[in-house]
Amino acid sequence: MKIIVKDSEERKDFHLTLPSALILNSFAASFLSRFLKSNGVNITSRQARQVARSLKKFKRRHKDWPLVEVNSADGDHIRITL
Amino acid sequence: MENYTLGKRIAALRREKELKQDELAEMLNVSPQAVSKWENDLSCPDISILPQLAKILGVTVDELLTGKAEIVPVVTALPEEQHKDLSDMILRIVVESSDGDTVKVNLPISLIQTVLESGMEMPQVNGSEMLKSIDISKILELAAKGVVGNLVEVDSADGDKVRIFVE
Repeated sequence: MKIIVKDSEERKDFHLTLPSALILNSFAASFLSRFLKSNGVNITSRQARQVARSLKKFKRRHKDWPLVEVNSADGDHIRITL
Repeated sequence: MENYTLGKRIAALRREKELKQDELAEMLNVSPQAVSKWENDLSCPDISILPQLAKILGVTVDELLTGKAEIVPVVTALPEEQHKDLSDMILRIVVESSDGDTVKVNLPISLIQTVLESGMEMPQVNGSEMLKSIDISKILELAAKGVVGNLVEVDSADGDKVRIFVE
């Protein structure tokens, strides 16, 4: 998974590449569900694991899939690829 | 794909079409090394190849070169023999705010299916006033029946625009 943030004002780019195995695993899913619960999103660790599994399966067929792209009016850009 | 280089766009579109470099090369009568060079931005495809390349990759030449010409497909009900596998379908949500911000979310339908089947809510969609009333499960039902294209278009009074389409 890659997270790219481009700040147009400070002309700084931030590239974060995370190995999928580190994100899409049972431990990360449990951690994520706990984090989301504490932020008011009700998701069990089982559900988070199912999402992780589904994303993993999709990634196998569609490498570097752009999941989210945000372009702000002032030129900032955020992109999250699978 | 607007921020991709030409090479990255070719690579991404080729992968979407589940083609290997040598398969694409064969279709275009060029060497696999040439395709590799395009994808690594070491060279560019010959101008005479572009229409055929764009056709194979399922985009227009303009979209291939600029990545900007986003096609908003009209709603189409595909005949049963052309139905895509749900695991290869995408739900795109594009939000354009009145102050010029754009958010694009490309969600695999298989992921949404997992989310809905496990009884989860779609927090991002539920959190938006504009999208609260949209029933994502109905959109999935339509996708399963082969309906693709621009399924939802909402223009809010304050100028925000939301489009949901299935590809």
